[in-house]
Amino acid sequence: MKKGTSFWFVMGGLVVVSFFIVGMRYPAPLYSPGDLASAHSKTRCKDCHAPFKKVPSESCSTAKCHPDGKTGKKLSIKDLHTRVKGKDCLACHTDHKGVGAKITKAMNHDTFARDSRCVDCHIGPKDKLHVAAQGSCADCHGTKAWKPSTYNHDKYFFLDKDHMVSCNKCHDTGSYKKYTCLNCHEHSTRGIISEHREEGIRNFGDCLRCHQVTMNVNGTRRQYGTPKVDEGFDGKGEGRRHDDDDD
Amino acid sequence: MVVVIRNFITLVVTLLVTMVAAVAIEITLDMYGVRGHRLLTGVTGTLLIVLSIAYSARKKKLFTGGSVKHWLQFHEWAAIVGTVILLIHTGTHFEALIPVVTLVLMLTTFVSGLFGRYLYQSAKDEMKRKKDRLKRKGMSETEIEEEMAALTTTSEALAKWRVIHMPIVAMLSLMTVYHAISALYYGGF
Repeated sequence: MKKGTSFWFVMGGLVVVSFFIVGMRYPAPLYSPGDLASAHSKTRCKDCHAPFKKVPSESCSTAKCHPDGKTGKKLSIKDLHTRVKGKDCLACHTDHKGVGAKITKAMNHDTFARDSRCVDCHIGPKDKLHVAAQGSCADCHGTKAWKPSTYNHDKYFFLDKDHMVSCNKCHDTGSYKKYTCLNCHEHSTRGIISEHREEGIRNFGDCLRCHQVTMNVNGTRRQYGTPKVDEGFDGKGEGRRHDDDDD
Repeated sequence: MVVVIRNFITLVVTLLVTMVAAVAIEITLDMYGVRGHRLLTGVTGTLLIVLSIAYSARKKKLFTGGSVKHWLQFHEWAAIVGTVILLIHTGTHFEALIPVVTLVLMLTTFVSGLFGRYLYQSAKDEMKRKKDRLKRKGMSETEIEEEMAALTTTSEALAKWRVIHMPIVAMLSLMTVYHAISALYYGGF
């Protein structure tokens, strides 16, 4: 090896040794592949990692962290961590994905027997819609994630970018059969009340029961609601905009 | 000269596109939650680059199999393919300092290698042109050889380039070993 190259090997060696010394005091900036989730932000590298091994499950289940797999979170799956006790935590969990990142991987349901039922493991929601639901969970949900539901809402109303809100914004009574537009769309309530009461209409939050709206659904015009009233919403009113009846 | 520059630009553009494609592959794999490729691409890419150094050993006659010219071609291609594979290994993960320093050194070595290739090609072309000119002048083979010995400008440039290329290679080698050991220390096998 030439003298010049040897010199640079020595210099490189010094750089590596410097990194090593700094890394002993501050390992994260040098070796961490990403920020830890906020719940793990106070853990040190050696709390979880063992030299030259994948993170052992014992690191997670120590008394001060997750004894018996307890995470302090309300789980939607019955006795989940009791069932998987002794299994590899990293099969389902990960980290170093960022402070706010989701650290539970999507469950692979393909390994389950075909006759397994969702409710054998999952605790279903207790709202009126789910309690009254007659069909299979798979009618509305996939196995990748419970939310968002795969329920075809477009059939009843297209959720465009302006309508991507939480379910209870419109379905504010706990029943998914009832809804109201008035939690977002401003009206002069007094005017609406009097105008509808004159006609004997009391459930005027259910706008589409009488009015029709035309929306652009992925490039095609689609109409929702019933054109019982020949005035009101855009696309149906005879030259009268929906805003016009706010007075 | 124009041909050399045009070829060089074509090579650089092709490599840039390949590099972008490599990073795109990693982003796609990451999107689909594929993890196993990190170790595989890391080991494969590093091995290719390490094997490419066999050219230096052949040049120094540490072994005699194959011609130096063919070993140079192997050096170039193994280094290019190895670098592209290591870009798939890296993707867009620039969080930890050690891998980032190693990546910067690898890309510096790569660019330096391309520059060395350009110098080598220029030297070869210049020699060929000079030889043809001397032949046309009616010089004998002996006279041509004497004249050619005087043409050292580009070769000197190559020698000067080696003075820069080899230290970067030395630093890269050490940082690669350090990165591999630290990654395996925390991530396991």
